[in-house]
Amino acid sequence: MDRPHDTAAGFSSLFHVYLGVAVAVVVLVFGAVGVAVVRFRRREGLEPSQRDSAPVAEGVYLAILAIVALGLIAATFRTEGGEDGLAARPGLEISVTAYQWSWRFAYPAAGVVVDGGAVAAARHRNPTLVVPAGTVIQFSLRSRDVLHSFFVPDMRFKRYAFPDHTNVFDLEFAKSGRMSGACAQFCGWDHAEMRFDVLVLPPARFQAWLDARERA
Amino acid sequence: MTTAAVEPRAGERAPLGALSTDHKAVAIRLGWLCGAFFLAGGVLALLVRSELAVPGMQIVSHQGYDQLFTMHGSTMVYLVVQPLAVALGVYLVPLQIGAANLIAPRTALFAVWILAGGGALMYLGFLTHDGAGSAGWTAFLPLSSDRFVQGSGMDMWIVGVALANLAVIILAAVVLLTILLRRAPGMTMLRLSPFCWTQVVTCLMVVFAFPAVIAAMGLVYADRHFGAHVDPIWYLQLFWYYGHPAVYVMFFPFVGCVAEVIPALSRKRFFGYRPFVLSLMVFTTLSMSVWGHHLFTTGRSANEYFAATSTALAIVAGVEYFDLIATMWGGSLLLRTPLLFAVAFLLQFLIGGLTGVIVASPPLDYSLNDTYFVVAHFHYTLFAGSMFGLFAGVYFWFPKVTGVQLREGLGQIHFWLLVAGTNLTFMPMFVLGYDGMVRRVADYPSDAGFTGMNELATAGSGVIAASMLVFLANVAVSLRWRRAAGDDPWEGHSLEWATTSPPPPGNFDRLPPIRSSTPALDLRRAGPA
Repeated sequence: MDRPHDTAAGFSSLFHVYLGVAVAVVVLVFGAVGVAVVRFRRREGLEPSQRDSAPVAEGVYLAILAIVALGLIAATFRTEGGEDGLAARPGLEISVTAYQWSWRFAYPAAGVVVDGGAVAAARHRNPTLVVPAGTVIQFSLRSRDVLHSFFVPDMRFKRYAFPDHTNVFDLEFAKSGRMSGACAQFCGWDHAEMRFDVLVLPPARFQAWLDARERA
Repeated sequence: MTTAAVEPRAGERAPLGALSTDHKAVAIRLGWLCGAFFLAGGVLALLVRSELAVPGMQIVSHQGYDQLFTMHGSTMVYLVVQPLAVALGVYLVPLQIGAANLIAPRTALFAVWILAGGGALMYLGFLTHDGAGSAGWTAFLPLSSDRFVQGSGMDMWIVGVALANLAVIILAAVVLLTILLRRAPGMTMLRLSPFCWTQVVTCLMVVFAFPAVIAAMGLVYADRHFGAHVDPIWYLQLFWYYGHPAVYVMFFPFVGCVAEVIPALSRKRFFGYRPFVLSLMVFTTLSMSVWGHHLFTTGRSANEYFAATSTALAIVAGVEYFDLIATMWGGSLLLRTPLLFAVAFLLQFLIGGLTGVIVASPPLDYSLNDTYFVVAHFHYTLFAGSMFGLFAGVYFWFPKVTGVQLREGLGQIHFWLLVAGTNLTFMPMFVLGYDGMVRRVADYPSDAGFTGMNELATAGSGVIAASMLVFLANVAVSLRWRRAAGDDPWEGHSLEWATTSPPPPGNFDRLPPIRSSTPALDLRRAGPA
């Protein structure tokens, strides 16, 4: 794949493979059970079959199942290999800190920080994660207290934040636009309010935003 | 079959006293206890669904909501489905293997009281200042430490969960040893009923995996009271080492129910007995090596290994589906409530199983983990699957346990309402999760587009509640105005159908010869005694 860290694209092609297999299985099983229920409903003169095994048929069926499962695992491995790897030279580094109940996004190279502000139980404005489109971004994710999970639904990606361990991963946002983000791991009272916004800008406008924040 | 009122024979009521050590009395007491907890957990679920029906906080606070979903999940797992999984074995295993009782009935009775005490302790937490446990049914550290969740209600939850799991371990050990050591002459391991085989593998998983959850509770307690600082990833690994086999503990006994109902009501011998038994054993072996799929999004797990082992489960589960459907194929199907529930189990559990294959793929789980997609997935396995399997068993064995049939008409109303309510509640959750709604949230933004699906799910939960009321009414009516069922109303295959309904203390006045896995069927074919 040419853009292994576009996790949204990776998800959508893989999900359709899995969904296709699942729908086929549902059709087969619902069909078989439906036919059995209609055709073999108890009535006068219906003598049940005495057969109670079919080793060859069951063996062939088992082999087909195994081949389908292997195909699914192979497709998974191919997508995952790209997503889990880290780029040698990412275009940007952002460090994300999760805490009860907001987010802090830091751009270390520019010395810029966006912080949702530690507001315990009150409503607060969501912090905005600003990123450039079409750039491989290396995120370093950590928590300041309990477990959290950095989740951007439109990117089809999430990752745990640990208090004693830094998780590093790469993401590439394909197009500019707005997305929402959330904490996916239950983290206490205001878990539901621990949201953030994502603003994906064209690279030149992102640079302008970063320069303006740096001067401020 | 007669419809005359049946009077219990002398001596039949006696073993049901509170201290009776007859396995049937122990199991019935366990059933009532789990049933009471099921109602409590169901009320909590209705409160959860009411809060989520529309955006904004209407009936509880955020803090209150955390207690609701924590206690709903931990009630259903620790106090309902896990103990029911072994309670079925406590009742049926001695009957199906031709034993007079469990190998250690007093120990089993003790376990029932441990479970009652553990459950009571968890619920008494609601009366404490800070309320009941509120760190989720998994109680991950460090959230569950006293730095983040204060109060004795959380401590009571920890001790209660440890006790409830201890009770299940004791019961599973007793059932397993009973199968291994108390089989009647002629009852070899490969003549065990399919249900007994599901008990063998269930008890193996309990005995090998469940001590980990007691250790995990010990770690949380030590963190709260003795200043132990447990590495969060250690806790995650330990908890899920228990937590994934536990999922199959809450599945296999109900497959076992279905595997008894389908042959009897299809007038066919169980199809593919040996492949079925082998698939159970392989499944159980694999089940000890799949827990890491709960950790795909931690970035600290061997994702490819656990994706491969978890997906391989679909192959063995496919064998079980093949055997159950092939048992119906070519049969003579009596479409009464036990078989209706069994068929619905097959179809609905399939949706839970296939979505399980989807979340067993790490790149897909990166999106779906911790969303309502997973909530929908495990409710399709546990509720649309296991609960339907349980009801198949309840309608099937109710005449054996009580001597009377449940009403068929009320049973069918119960069934169709439950099918409608279950799918109306849990199908929208797949959509919500796919669209990114996170689980364990007390609220969601009004502009997120989640409102419509949440309204549907809440409406569905009301239909489920109505169906449960119909079931309770059916039990009450059937026990009050008794219609005798006879000893073998379904033309059953396994040994319990060769004794009276209900069975006497000691279970059998005379054991029939055991020459196959279907001794009651053999006896019937040999002609009237």
